[in-house]
Amino acid sequence: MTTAGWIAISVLWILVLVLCVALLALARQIGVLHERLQPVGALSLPKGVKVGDTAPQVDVETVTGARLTIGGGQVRAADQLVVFVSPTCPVCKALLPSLRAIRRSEKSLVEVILASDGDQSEHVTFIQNNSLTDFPYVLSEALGLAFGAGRLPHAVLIDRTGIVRASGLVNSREHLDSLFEARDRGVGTLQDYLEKADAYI
Amino acid sequence: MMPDAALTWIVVAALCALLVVAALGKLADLAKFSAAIQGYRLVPPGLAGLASLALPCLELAAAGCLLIPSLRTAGAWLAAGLLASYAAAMAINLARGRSNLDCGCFGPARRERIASWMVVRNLVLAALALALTVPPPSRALEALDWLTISAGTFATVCLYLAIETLARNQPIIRSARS
Repeated sequence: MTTAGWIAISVLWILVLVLCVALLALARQIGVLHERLQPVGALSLPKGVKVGDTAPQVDVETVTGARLTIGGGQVRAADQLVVFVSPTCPVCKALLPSLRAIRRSEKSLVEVILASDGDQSEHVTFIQNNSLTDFPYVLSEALGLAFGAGRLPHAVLIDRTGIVRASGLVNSREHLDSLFEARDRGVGTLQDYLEKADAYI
Repeated sequence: MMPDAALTWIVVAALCALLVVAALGKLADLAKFSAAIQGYRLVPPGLAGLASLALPCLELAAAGCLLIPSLRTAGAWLAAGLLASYAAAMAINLARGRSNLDCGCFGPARRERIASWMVVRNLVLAALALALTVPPPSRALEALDWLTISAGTFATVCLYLAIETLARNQPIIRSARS
């Protein structure tokens, strides 16, 4: 085999391998892009609770074993923000940094609780991979049913007197922040805002 | 039969990689893999536990035999048999109209549903394994052959993964279009 032959074949192999890797990367990106583009679905009013009602009381246990009471008529020190998430929901993952920020900045004002249901081991990995150990993390189907969390991520804001102030699908940091704005202005849902939009402009 | 010894090595190495990855994925969660086998409704439920251990062990055995030239023919028959029977199991269930079951192919962690392209994939892989049952004309391998074998194996694995990813994206793209 001559030197020229060796060089020709080596160069061809390098090109083939680079092309193979690029093709694989592109194929994977199609899947990832689709995940990102996944429609969050129509914003529907939750069936479980109505804004302005007293939140139903649900006693739950966090994954670490601590007992927690969500809702109920009693007066507490801080608001409760219950965010229903799932390890398989890409939009939920995108929201996690915002939730951490809210937990830090509004620590005395709001208690952020993450809720989900299903296999515990899957959630423990999710908590570890996304460093969510600081959050109370609840696995309870009853909680999801009580608050009508159909589409994820779903957030419910319960004020300190136990009244539901906002409830619905949230899909961005702005949306999440707007829950607090909504609480302050007394707007419960997006539909509610759109109906009364004229009054705000 | 493969036309050349270098080509044989590429197919051997790629098939071994596939069998080992598949076997380890299955061994990682035997309980769920056993449930996946029961989902196929082809073996009696009592035997699913045994099958869930036997299948990955057979896959590892096939991979090991393929790597040893004197045992290659036996390993090739075993690999071809396994791949063809997986294809048959999926084809039977697809024909029954039961496409909504866990494939279990690379272990239950992947949570993949069976589909017709997997039957084709397994038949192609079985045909490749079958081609290894007849040894190629013997020839001394030189340095350039080893470059061909190593780069060729890497390229084959990459292309396999790319094709599989594209096939898996297919239903998503189809549902997005409609």
